[in-house]
Amino acid sequence: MTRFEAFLKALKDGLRELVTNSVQDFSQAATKDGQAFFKKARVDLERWTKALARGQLSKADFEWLVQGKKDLAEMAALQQAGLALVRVDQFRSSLIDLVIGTAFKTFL
Amino acid sequence: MNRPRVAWRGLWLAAAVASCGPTISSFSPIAYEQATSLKVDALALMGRATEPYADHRVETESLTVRLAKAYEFAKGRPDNDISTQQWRILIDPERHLLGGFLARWKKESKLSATFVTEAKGLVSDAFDTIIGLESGKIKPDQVQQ
Repeated sequence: MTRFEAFLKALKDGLRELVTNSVQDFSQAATKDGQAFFKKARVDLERWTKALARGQLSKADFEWLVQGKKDLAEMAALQQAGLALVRVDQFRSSLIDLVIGTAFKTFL
Repeated sequence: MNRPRVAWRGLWLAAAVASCGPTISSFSPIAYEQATSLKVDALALMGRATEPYADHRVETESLTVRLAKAYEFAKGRPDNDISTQQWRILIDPERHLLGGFLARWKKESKLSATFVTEAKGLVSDAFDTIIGLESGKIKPDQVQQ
C-alpha cells in the first residue's frame, strides 16, 4: 500500500466516524427537544381547557393561547433548523481538521 | 469504477464541503444580551397587563422600540435569516406571542390574571427559542474560514 493509499484509507475511516457521531448527536438532541415540546404542549392544553371550563379563561383567551402555541411551535422548529445548520458548520470544521491531521500523520 | 477514482471523488467532495462559507451566523454576545434583557423586561411588563393599558403606555412603547431594534439588529447580520424570522414571529402584532399580546392589551385595556400568566409562559418559551439558537451558534473564535 502506497502512502497516499494509506492516507485515503485513514481519511475514509475518520470520515465514517465523524459522520456517525455528528448525525447521532444531532438526532438525539433534536428528538429530545421535540419530545419535551409536545409533552409541555399537552400539559398546557390540559390546564387551559380546565381553566376554560371553570370560566377563568374566556373563549377568546383560550383561542389566543392555542394560536400562540402554534406560533411557538414555529419558533421552536426554526430553532432546530438553525441548530442543524450550526452542526453543518461544525461538521465542515471537523472535516478540515480531519483532512489536515490525517495528511500530517501520514506524510510527515 | 476503480477505488482510487472513488477516493479522489470523495476527496474532492470533502474539499468542496470544506471550502463553503458558513451556513449560519456565529454567536453574537450583543444579540444574546439583547434577547435575555428583553425577555426579563417583557415578562415584567406583561405581568402588569391586569392593570389599564393607559397606565403603562409609555413603558409599552419603549419596549416596542427596543424590540424593533433587536429585530433590525438580527436582520442586519449576515446569514442570520432564521433568527430574524424568530424575532418577526415574536413581535408581530398580528400573531399570538409578545407583539400580539401587547396589541390585545391595548385593544382591551385590561386582561385577566389567568390569561396573563399563561401568555407569559408562552412568551418566555418563545424568547428561549431565540436565546437557545443564539447560544448554540459557534463562537467567533471557533469559526474556521
